[in-house]
Amino acid sequence: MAQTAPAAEALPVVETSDLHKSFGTLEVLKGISFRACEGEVISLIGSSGSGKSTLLRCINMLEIPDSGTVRIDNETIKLRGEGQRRQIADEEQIRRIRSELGMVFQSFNLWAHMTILQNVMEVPIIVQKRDRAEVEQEALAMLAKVGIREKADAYPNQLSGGQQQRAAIARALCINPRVMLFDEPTSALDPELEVEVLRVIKILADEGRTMILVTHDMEFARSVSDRVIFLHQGLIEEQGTPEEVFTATKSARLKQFLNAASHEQEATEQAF
Amino acid sequence: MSEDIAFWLSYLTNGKHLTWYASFQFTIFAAIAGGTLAVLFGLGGAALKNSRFLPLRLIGSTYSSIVRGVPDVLFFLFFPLAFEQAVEWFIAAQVCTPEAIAAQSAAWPPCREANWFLGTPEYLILASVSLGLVYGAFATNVIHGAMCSVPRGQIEAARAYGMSARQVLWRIQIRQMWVYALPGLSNVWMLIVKATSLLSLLQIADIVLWADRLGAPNFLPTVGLVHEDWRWRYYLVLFLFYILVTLISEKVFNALMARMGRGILSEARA
Repeated sequence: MAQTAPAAEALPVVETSDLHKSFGTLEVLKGISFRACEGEVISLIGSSGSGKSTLLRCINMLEIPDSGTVRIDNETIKLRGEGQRRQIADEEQIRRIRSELGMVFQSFNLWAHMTILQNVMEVPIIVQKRDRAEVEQEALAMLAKVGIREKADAYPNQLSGGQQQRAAIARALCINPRVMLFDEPTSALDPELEVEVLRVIKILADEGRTMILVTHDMEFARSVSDRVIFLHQGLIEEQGTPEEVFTATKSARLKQFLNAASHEQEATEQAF
Repeated sequence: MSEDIAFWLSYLTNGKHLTWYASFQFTIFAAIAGGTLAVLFGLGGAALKNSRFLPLRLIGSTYSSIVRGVPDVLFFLFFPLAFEQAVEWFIAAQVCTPEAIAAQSAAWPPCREANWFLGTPEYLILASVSLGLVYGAFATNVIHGAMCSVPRGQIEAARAYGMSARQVLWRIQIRQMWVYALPGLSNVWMLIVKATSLLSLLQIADIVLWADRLGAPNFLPTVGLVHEDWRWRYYLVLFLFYILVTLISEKVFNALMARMGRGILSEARA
């Protein structure tokens, strides 16, 4: 756990203001503003349907907010149109920004027709146009870091879920991301495989990387985050240091949510 | 006995038979060129069907639904003729004098200068394009379906990492769709191979035409009746040729499948 919250003057890397998003008539985000500063690790928690994944996907415009803005390193992502017809205005800009956001998905989404090494090297070479030999060295180093160096030439379907997710993390790392975005990175994994992925994420957090993490694992959110944001029905219900959120809980809804989460945790443990 | 062998050897290597053997190249050319064009038209048609713009989508789906319904023999007769006359009409507009048109010395083209003579190479190319157009409509459907089978998440990941729409299409979607498309495309390929037996409809002296001629009752002034109606024996040779092509095609498609399916098909097969 980080001992102190970053100083207030630290540079915001990701900043959203007043994000709204609806799918059809269902309003998922109802005006969310938050910022992630350099080196900060933020966990987004909340029950399913609270909008935490949608919020994360708005940061790199996989979902385009109906209103509100997203700024990456003080640069506003340009959008045009109104409401649900809003779309990306500047393809060049979004590609450049996206190539600096390392996204890790719940279901890994490794490219099945490429080896692990090719997966990791693809974006640096194809999108960032970097030198192949240099990228290969770096990619192998990243694979070593997440502990699957020996799987470099295997295909994703030859790996366990935990190994695939670690490969996906290496893929994100190899683009030298400004921010790492994790969308429930362990939800598709068996508990015994979860540990190996969480260990890697913890190492990254301790290195001082800027990370935004959507998770249902309260223990992990507590141990890894600088700040925890609790979303409820599309709004930020409570936020603060893990201490403030988990121990000195103010909101009644958050208390209820944490209770339910810990019961679920116990139930899972008993099942083993 | 040895005289008989010598006779049959020289009979089977006489000029007409050599021409027959050589005419296999037309069939093979039409199949390969037609197959390649069908895949290209299929990719184009599928791209149209996937387009964001409604008019393009309509063109794509109209092509695949209408052309699939037209009998290939009919299209085979229609397209080269229509194309030839369209070209001649266009030339006529440039070169024919109004007097020549008024005089109307021939039914078509309007004047003799506008006549475009088509030889075997031209017909062969037109035949390949016809095959490509007809079977490209089937390939459009196969490829469109295959593109939709590529897992959404992988396409999303490519977009999330800043790949352009074109990079996503070529590096992820098209690269992966082959696994889903190949079984369907191998069917289309076999249909094209079969349809090559229609080449003689376009006055190409192809293997079928020669088999017909060579198999007909045959008299030689020096020998008398060499054989009576032997067409079925010649057709049998063609059967064997097409079966051989089928076997080779299956081998090639299996190899392609193993190559394209690496990482996608289960390990046991990859």
